[in-house]
Amino acid sequence: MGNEIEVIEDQSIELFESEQTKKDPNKDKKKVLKLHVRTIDAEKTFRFRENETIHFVKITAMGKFGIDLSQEGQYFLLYDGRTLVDSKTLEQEGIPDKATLRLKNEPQVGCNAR
Amino acid sequence: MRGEELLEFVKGQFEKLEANALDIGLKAVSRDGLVIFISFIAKNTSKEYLMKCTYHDDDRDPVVGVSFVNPQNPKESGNQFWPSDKRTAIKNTNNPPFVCIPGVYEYHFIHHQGAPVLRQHLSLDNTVSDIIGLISK
Repeated sequence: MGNEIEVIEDQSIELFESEQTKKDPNKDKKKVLKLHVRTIDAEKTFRFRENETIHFVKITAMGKFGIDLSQEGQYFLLYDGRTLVDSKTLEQEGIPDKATLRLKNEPQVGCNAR
Repeated sequence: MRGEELLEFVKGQFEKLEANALDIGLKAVSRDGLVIFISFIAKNTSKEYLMKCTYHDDDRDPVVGVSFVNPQNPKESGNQFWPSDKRTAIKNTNNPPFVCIPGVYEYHFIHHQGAPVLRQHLSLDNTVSDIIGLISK
């Protein structure tokens, strides 16, 4: 019973697919992950296929949080103490289902020299 | 912020950090009054660090003071226990060493006095994940 409820909840969350994935005839073989993305003061839940890149996840989340995409170079995703690499996929970065990723902007560094 | 009000604030920050410890990649967290110890392993070097976060009982905004101590003996301090980062935000060769980013007491009240303290700078969870993010790059 508990599982049934969870599936219904999962399906209510939008599945975001990159253009590349949409064109992939084998995309249905890729596992769908439910991911929580958290900023300093908000959290949203998304679904992505495991073959999506970290960059796609990042810009999708930025858009949903209303963050200007022109600043995407200043943002990164953090998971389990690791900065995720934009060019890698969720699968390559070992992101499990229901993981919480942190969307962070690069902190301003105060002093330029030691 | 002072006294009981500060202690309640620190308890709240600690609880939030504890709840999010796994997401941030922390190994262990503990609190002793106004001091919070955070143990973690840098993912890129597999080296263990112990971050000592100290809140100051003064009239300033409750921004956390950050230092690194010996993971095997928290009473022992020294530059050798500090991590480094590519952006050199962590001034690990200074005497004393410090972390030079907003959200850190030494930044706002010693090295960049007058730098505004924004709401996000009061979040320990945010400051710790900023520091871990710097180290892990």
